[in-house]
Amino acid sequence: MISHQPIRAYMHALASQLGKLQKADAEEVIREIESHIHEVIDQAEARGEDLDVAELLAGFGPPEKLAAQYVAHIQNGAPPPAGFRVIQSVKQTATRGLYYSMGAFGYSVAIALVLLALAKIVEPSSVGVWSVAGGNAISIAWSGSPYPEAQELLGYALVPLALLAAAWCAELTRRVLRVLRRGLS
Amino acid sequence: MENEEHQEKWQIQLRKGALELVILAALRGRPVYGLALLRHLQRFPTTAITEGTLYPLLDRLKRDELVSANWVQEGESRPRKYYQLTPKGERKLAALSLSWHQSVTDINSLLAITADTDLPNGGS
Repeated sequence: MISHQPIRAYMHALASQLGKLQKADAEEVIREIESHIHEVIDQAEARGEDLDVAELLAGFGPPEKLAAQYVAHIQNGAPPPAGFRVIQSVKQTATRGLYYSMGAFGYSVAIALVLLALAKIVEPSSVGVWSVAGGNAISIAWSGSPYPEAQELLGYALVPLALLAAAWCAELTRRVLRVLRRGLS
Repeated sequence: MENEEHQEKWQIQLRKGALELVILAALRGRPVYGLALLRHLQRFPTTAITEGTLYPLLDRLKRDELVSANWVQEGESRPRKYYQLTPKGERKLAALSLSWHQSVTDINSLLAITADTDLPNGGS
């Protein structure tokens, strides 16, 4: 008597790993593999043979590895159909635009933070972080007329904090650009 | 022992490269379903692959429009998914076959060269 429990467990695991596919495609994969397994079982039973279910399932490999082969084309990006070069070109333009915008934005913020730290050293009384609007808002400013009635919160601690934030922002931007660059190549 | 391992790795690489040609060749002329195709390939030592290799490859060939597939139910049997070559698949098979035969001819010629055979002059 063949135990169907390992088969159900395998198919359940496989189905859960095929989530990246469209539902109909995932169902088609499951249907085909189930059909194969059940036909092998039917043939073994018709011949009166014992079937090693574990060995049969081993032929498919671990469910996550099998599923990975079916979803690989989604993760790698399927090539566009023939005649759709225009779409590819538009996609590449969008990626290039995003790449330069992201670079300009990220590095601008980092430079602004470095300037803020330098300004705090040069003009400590004009640069700082103030709690304003009765404690309901925070203002980071470099101003000739700061908030005389409000208390400055950070003092010179603003310098290392701004430099750390600048370094973090620059590193984050570099990493994002590295990912986007793959889309350009 | 090391030699055997190396030969096995070489065999795997060779099979990997030739697998698409092998599947297309096995589908030539008639529709075949997965289990029959697998058993057909397992009759030959160098093309014996597993289910886990065959089905994802068939899926890729289908996406590349080299094969088409449809479910067929015959009598009381379970429905089977039959694969067959598309016109694009037949052209691909012809191109790969040509390339394969050329490679075999070239390699056989290289293997037949003996130590006393004159090699072409590299200069002119």
